[in-house]
Amino acid sequence: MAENTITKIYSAAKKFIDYTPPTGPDPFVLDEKRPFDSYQAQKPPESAIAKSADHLTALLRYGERLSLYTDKVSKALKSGDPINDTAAFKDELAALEKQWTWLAPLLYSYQQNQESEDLPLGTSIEENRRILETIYKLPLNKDVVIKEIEMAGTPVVPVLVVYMEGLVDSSKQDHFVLKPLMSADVGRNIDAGDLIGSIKKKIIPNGQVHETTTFKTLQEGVNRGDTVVLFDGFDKAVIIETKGWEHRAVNIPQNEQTVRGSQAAFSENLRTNTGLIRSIMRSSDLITEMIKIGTRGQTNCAVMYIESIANASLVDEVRRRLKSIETDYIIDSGQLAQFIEDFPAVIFPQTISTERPDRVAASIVEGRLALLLEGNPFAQILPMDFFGFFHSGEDFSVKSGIGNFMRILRLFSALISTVLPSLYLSLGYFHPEAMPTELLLAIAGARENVPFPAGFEMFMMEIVFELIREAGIRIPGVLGSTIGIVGAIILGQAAVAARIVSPIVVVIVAVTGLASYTITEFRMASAIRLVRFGLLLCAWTLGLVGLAIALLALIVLLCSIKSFGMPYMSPIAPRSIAGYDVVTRGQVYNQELRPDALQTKDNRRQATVSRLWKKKPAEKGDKEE
Amino acid sequence: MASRAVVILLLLVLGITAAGCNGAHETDEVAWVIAVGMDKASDGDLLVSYRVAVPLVLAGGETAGGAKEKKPSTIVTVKAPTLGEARNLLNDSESRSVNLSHVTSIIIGEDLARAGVQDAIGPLTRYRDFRGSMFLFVCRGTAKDYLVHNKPDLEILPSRWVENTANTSSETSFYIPTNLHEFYTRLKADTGSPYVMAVAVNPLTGRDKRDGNQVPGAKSPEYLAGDSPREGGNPVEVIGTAVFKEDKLVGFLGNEETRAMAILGDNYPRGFIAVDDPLAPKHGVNIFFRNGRKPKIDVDLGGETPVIHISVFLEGELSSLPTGIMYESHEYKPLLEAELSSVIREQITKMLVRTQSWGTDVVDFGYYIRPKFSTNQELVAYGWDKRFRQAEFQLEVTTSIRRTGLMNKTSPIRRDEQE
Amino acid sequence: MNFNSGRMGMAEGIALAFIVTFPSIFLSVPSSAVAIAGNGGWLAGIPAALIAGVLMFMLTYVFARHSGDLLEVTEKLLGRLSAYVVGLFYFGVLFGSAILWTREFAENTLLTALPYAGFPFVVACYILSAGFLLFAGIENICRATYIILPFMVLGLVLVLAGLAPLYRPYNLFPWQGNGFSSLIQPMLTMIGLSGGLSVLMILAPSFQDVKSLKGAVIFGYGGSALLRILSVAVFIMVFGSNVAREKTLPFYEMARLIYINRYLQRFEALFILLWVMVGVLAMAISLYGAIYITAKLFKLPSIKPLLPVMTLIIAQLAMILPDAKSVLDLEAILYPYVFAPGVILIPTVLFIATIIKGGKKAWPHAQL
Repeated sequence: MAENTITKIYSAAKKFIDYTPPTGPDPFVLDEKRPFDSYQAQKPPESAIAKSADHLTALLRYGERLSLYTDKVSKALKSGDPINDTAAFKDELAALEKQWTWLAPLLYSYQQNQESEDLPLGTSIEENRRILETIYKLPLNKDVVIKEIEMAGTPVVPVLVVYMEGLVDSSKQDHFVLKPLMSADVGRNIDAGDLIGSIKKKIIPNGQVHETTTFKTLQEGVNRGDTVVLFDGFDKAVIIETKGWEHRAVNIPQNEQTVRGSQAAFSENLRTNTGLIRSIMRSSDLITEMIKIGTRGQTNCAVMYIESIANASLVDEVRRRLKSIETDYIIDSGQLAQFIEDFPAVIFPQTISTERPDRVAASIVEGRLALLLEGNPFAQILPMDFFGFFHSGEDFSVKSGIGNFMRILRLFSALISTVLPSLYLSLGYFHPEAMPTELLLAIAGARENVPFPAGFEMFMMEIVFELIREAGIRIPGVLGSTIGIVGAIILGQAAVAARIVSPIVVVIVAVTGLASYTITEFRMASAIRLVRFGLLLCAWTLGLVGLAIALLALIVLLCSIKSFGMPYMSPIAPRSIAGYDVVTRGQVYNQELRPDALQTKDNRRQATVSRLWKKKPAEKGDKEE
Repeated sequence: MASRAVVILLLLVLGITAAGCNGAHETDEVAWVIAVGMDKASDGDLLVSYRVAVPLVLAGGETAGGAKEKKPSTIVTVKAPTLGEARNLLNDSESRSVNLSHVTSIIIGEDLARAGVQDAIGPLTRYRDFRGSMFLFVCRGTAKDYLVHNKPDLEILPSRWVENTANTSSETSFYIPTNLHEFYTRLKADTGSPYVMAVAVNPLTGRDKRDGNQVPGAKSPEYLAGDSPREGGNPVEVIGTAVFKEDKLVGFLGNEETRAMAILGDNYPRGFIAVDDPLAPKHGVNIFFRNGRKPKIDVDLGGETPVIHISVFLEGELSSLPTGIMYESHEYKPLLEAELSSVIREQITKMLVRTQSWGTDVVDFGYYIRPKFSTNQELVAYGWDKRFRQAEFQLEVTTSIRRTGLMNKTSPIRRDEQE
Repeated sequence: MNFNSGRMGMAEGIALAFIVTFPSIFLSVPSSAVAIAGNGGWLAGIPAALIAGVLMFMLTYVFARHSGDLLEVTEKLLGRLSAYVVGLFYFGVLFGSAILWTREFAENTLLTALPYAGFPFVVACYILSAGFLLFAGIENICRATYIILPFMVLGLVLVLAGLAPLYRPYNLFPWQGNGFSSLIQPMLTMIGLSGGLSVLMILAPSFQDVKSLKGAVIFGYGGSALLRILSVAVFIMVFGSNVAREKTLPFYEMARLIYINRYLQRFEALFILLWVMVGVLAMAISLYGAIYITAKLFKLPSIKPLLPVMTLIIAQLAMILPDAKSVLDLEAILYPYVFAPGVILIPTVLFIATIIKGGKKAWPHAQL
């Protein structure tokens, strides 16, 4: 039967109502089941082999034959016997050469079918140049510079120098590349027959010199900021490290200031960042894996972890997710986190975004992973539980009493910033008996002249506060203080005087806003701010009943999400050994175990008695054991 | 799948928001009642007076135009058969919906109390707006008079005055704060009689209307509510207790009798008393005394009639000793202690006799016989109310004067020998 | 057909056992106990808790020796028909509890929190929230309950402690109340109320080991029983048995009485947060138990589609009874005379069957 409107409506309704269990791979759960063995990565399905596979197999067969032949010859030569039937060898060689001339067009056609970047380097410098121009769309692209120089020596070798303007440090280039190659006595240092080797070993005074045979690596080098040198007559290119683009120096943290912690922050350069972390954590086990993200962006992403602590299946899973991102480019580590998170739709962040290397180092030692993206000064630490978002770097620098007070204050202010406006609305609308009489009558008196209902007032003031906040981020620096005065004081005061809002609403909104800024992690604070609006709506319609149901739904939501396989509300639900650092922190010498939920390889990070000076020294004359 | 969730979410939001306000009232749509007074009208109806707060006056700050001396609360009286109907009538005159959840005091007029409060207090425990912690008063006179004349000089709102009064009763214990919960539980319990704070309007003329005979040894007489000699201050005063039998008012206790009640109920943290100086009865000794320990009350059910043994121990502190006789020393102190003990004993006896004659067990001695029975049926079958009328009291009051104040000896005033 | 993909530990078990037996403290159960048993109403809870605890321990003994959940074990020990009977009985207990609680909590909301709201609207709000919560899965609900648990206990203890100025301890005497025979019906009611603990046993394979189950019974049910007994005792102490038997909502009345000073009074509205959360969670867990049994009995492949259906059914059934008093009367018949006998009989029969048939002590490993 043909498709018409009725069948379309029917099938749409059926699709809408019918229940289909969700498809997709099993969710990744970080538990004790596979702690130390590698995750069996699912192999990607075999991609379709192009027609050039036939060519390739033909070439491979030839290669096999050739290698058999050379084995035979070398065996015969090694055996030491006089070679009698050189004629047989010669014949075979002639046959192989003839086969090669027959295969050459095959090779050529195979190569033509490949992308330029998969091609190997040719020996002719003009051909290489032509291919490079195709790859880099020259002369349209003015960033890539291809320079021809000549190397002195007998014979004179034409040399092609390729680099990306803006990414190379020109003084480095002069010193490492141009001067040595163009100096008059370069010919003396070249060994005959091994130009590339002597270039690498004797001529270029740079620590990072590689050679390559494919255009792909050549491209990567140029795109990264290295200088590539091609020599006529050789099918190898030399890549010399000359990176030196402008970047910001190590600064103080802009968004995570502490009073008593270190004042270094990440900058945009990836190597600087990894260097900062390494300077704090000088462990040989600290591994930095580099994964390239993005097909066009080719941004480097560093995954740092301590190999003897971090769970291997977690590392494998993270690596698998990073490698399977198919997109053009990722410019921000927050974006990257959303690509690999378990629940990107939930507004609560599942990784901590920090710009302080000491925080990253502390988390790595607990058994977590850190992701750093090139060009972004924020590191992502994963997996993270809910209570970790309320820790700050200086909780451990000050004594436990003070640190605990600050932590409890933060959690309490998170609660306030979520719940206070809703509490005020529900008490004012539905349960006015809970307020003391004088307060209630004062509120009622103040609200006599206000033309708006209380809920609308509250919403309005919350929106105005968000406006002030957002404007404060975008306002040009010179006007920054003006917004503070204009927005906060004059708007609030004038609004109250003009009887648009009542003073208590201003107080509540201000306290709520301030409370949400005590939360150390910016994204968590934003999530809590958003949640507040939802709770406000529930409280407005249903009073405390609505508030209770909404809070319950919020807590159940928090309990049901996972951050990279670790339940979000560990270690409280599900219960696991917490390690004295969840809500309040224990003494620094009592932090003996790492958080159990991370399933680390090595659980213990401190001995039971970590202050050996407290132990009574053995008396002289006792048994010394 | 996602569209499914979105559609359901939108339907939910629509459902919740379209279902209406669920009874939310803006704070300026509500008339807040802070006191309710009930009197008996001539034809059997109730005269209900409401004190409604005026939030504009209490908000402070600039008032918009005009009203100079706006009062913080207004009083509206309506006549209706029950409290519910009265509230309906109140709604007619007030432009806002009436909210009774901030009522701090409920006042019952004397004639309504004497006629029986069973009908009037019906809604007080069943309806949601009223709660057990509201203070209850019985007014000697009409409740409307009390409401109209209640002009506190230190507070703005009379409800604040009521709460402060109730909280500071422990200064003298001339009245015991009662709330609806206590009254109601006493009404329905197996033993004990309900009692309520007594309040009245004092004519402020300074007249001295004493109640009954003064106990020998006591310096100051007994007053009922509204009778104390006073000029100035709030015209309304809270003194004494109104005692109920079942649901009808049977009588008022004065200030000293109420204090005796408080002492027996272990509710007496401090207070002054002036007693005759034992060796110079013209002068008075001022003692600041309190319960030294909980009074031991033991009810002996062995014989025909119950025998109630009460043992009170008081601790005192001298606060005024004009004659200079060395009551601080060991020889004379027992005299003073005996004097105080006898005064208090007489006052307690007076209270016990009076309440026993009414057949009301305000101190609730019946509470102490509960452990002696094993089932409720036995307790009810014993019939405490009847037996209390014949109960004997064996009262023992001892005092110990612990401290002598800032002076421990008194030098005599220099008197000229010639005079 | 595998519904339980997580492994629940003792914490979730405690939370489950606590919350599924706790809501009765906010309903009329204490005052009906006092109405029947007088001052001894609080005493009835002690033997009831002990008996229910012993019954649960009998069941854990059974589960330590046979693997599977309640229905599978019954089938193994007593045959297919008994499994159906047991399944239907517990379905009735859980579903009935969910319906009764929905109705009672909605009534209480209309009495106390939202007096002007529409009744069907409130019923819909409660049961829909419970239904939606279940989409997160029973394990996550138990975790959330475990997080909220200390605050619930704290709230209740605050109420009980705030009433300290009003305690009159001799109100608990005469200690036998209306006589020992009057204690039987409240005791049976409390045993019937512990029928919700069957959810623990129905979900037994999701727990890690017998220790979790035992701990859940001791701490979860024990704690809930202790708090309930305490609150009935305080209720009697404060009000006296004659006034206590009148009250529809004991907890609400107790919370209303708190008057510590001028500023700390009248805040019973804040405890709305407490009992709404308890109510919704208990409804959700009972509903889940009922759905699970249904799916197991009829061999359905998945339980998610049943959720909206059952939710709507509960909402409709909850509104059938005409008035509030008839709900209380129904409860007074159902819990002591319909639920309690089954709750007592079934574990005993299973226990005896296990002793007779034997069985090695081997805890079932949770299937994953």
